[in-house]
Amino acid sequence: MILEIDNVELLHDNKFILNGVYIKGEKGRITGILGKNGSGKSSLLKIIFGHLKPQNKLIRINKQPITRPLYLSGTIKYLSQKDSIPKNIPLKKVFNLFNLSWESFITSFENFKKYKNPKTRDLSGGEKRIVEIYLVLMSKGDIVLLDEPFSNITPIYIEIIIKLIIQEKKNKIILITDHLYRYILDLSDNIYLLNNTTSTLIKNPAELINYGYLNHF
Amino acid sequence: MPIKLYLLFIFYKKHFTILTFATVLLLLIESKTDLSLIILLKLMYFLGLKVWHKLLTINKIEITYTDSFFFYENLGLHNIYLFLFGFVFDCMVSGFIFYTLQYFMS
Repeated sequence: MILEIDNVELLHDNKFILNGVYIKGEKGRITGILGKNGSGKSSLLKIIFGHLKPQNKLIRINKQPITRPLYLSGTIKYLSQKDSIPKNIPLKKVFNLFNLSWESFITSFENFKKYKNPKTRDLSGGEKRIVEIYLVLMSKGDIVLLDEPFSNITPIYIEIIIKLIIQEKKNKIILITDHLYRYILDLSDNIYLLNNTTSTLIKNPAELINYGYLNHF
Repeated sequence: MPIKLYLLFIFYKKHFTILTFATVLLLLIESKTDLSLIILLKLMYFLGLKVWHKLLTINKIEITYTDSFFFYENLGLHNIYLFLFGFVFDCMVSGFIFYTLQYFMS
């Protein structure tokens, strides 16, 4: 399975935020997207998900154009930067909605065993983030979009999340972006850099210095 | 359409609570009794929110209102239906509160 997003044009106040962006994701490979603050990484993921409508875009799955928002297919999951789980729903119910098991979750993240039947409001900011990542990553689907999954997460949990991402990439297309670029470089099979509104396929991480994304490597 | 999931959205949403009471308060102060006014006020708010949402999204400034939409979109629900369900529900709640208060105050 191959996902391609092509000819993305996103304008605001007649100024391009994204222009001529092309990204390709494949099942079995992790695609990393790097870029400075405000380079349009989150907007690009929202466009792929179908939440944000740009001026122009072309999305293809296995060379077939997709015109409806992808999220309506139910096969794509998106981790946004901010909390999205409603505060008052019991988490076990949330897991049921995503056809996942709370018991399986706590075997991966044992610190959550202290909770009997929590709601989102009972969790800390980092714990909420872990739950959201797990739901998006592990629930049934073909495409996963992860927007800054490692922000505000304890290193030991980042290691567990990385293991889960590697496990899930066998059956899914995974697109990931984060400012913790070392994790992205280590995890990704392909790297794109968003720079000056467009995308560039990075073949050698040292190129990131030439493009002004890093000072040193 | 997965009605149960849309109903879940209505059950757990909290976005319109302040506006619901503001609408009722306004109507009580003005002593208006027309239900169509409730719907009109809601519609104005709703359209305003839609524009507001678009402006904020394009500026990459997130608001709680849109954040929770991602949760339901991840379940495959259409955001237009979420807006519509929210709108109808709010009109019903506003109308109910308004007429109940008016009954006890009269």
